[in-house]
Amino acid sequence: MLTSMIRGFKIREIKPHWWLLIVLCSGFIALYNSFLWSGLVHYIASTQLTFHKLLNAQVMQVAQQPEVYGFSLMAISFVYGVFHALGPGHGKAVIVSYLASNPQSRLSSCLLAFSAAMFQALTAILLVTSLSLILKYKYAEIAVSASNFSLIGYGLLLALGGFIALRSIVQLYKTEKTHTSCGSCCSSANIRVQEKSLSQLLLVAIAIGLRPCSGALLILVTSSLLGIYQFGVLGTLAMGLGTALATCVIALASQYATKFLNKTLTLYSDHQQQKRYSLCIQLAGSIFIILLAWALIDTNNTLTNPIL
Amino acid sequence: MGIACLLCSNAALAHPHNWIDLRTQINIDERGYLTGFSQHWSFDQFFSMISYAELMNEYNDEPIGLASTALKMVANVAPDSYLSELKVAAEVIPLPVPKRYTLESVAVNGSPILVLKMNFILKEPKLVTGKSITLQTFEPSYFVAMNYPSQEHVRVVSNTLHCTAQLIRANPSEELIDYATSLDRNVKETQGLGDDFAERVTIQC
Repeated sequence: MLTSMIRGFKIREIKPHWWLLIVLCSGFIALYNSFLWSGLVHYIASTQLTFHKLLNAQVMQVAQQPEVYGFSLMAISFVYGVFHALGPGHGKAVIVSYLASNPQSRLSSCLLAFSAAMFQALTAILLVTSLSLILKYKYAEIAVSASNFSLIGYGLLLALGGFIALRSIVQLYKTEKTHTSCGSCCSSANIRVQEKSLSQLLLVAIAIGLRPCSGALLILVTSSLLGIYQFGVLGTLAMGLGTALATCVIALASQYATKFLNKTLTLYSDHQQQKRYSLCIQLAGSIFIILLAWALIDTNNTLTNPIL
Repeated sequence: MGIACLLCSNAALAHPHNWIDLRTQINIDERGYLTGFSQHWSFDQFFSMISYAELMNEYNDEPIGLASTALKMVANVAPDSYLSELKVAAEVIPLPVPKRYTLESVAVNGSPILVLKMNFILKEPKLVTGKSITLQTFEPSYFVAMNYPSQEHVRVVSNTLHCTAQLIRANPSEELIDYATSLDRNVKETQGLGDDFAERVTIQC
């Protein structure tokens, strides 16, 4: 029976765009389970720790001599922001996979990157300001709120990934059905799979921005404790700006890469086939977003120090 | 503790999140009985700063705030046998409630460092001549790393016996270090991890 199944399953029947989808998806899954991933996580953890210590020391110096160290706190925050964006992180991964699979104009790509970073800074400021300055909450409670905010963001990502995946599957199914009547559809204007959708872009930005950046929380919390909260806010904004600029560059790079890939694919295929390629890339991108959101929900926690 | 969570809930931050420097003095009386030990826990700068600010916020009075925080800390670690395991030969000695415990704030480079001092006096002193004493102090989930900065941080006080204390560093495998530092999971998965990173003090009289 097995042999008859194998005989029935002809490799030639698998069309090239399905191969593309399979290769992309198995690549993601392999990366997620690989040593490379855990090495990456290790690297981020240690570098973040070094930066956190540096920021912490800087905030303490600002408390002693605000006029001397105020500016350098902002400078270090800005650099931290850039590093934070260049290093691997969930926000970038989402932006890159979203833009690569849902091509946008250069302006919208930058807008997405910029608003996501600034949302992140604003979430941190809003959270710490309202909880610590107005409501006099304890920092343990700020941590719980930050974690809940992040969880909402991940939920949004999961929903978004699911929505895009479902839509691309439906569209793929439609293109499969219309396969025989290719001649007529080639002239139609539906080659561009993704229409401009500002509300979807905003949703992506909010989903990313709901997770406040740890560095921002750190300088906000320490500066509020040391009575120099305004410097904490300025530092956080500088950090957001750094992240925004660096993420913009990444977003543009991913946009160019997609364009190049699309052009290459057009050289070897007709419009119908090209549409299938883009849909498959879109599906793979959304699967990646789902995987990422799931991993983030899985590891989202509020561990506490058992001693206090 | 709040701030550590702030960090771990965001970056893929690794265990441990807080650090404690240990100092231990083990007391042996003139008859050769182990009577107890005292321990100082010096919390790291960041933890100390946040906790100090929080207790000042809550109590508005340093002595009262420190005393209340000390009570909370001791109550939190009591179910875990004060995070210490004391053995004479192979016998585990149960730890009593510390006879005296205080939380002190020491200024280091302009920022407060909190030091929890506990003094344990055994209900039944144990004869230790010719036996080895081992003491391990660790936080089971490895959220907090507890280490002796140097051999000098372990002392044995005995008027009559000649005792030697030895500090044995933990020797966790590469794999385990990688696991701990890439850890960002739930509490269950980390339980028991602290054991593998625990330093051991052995005393021979």
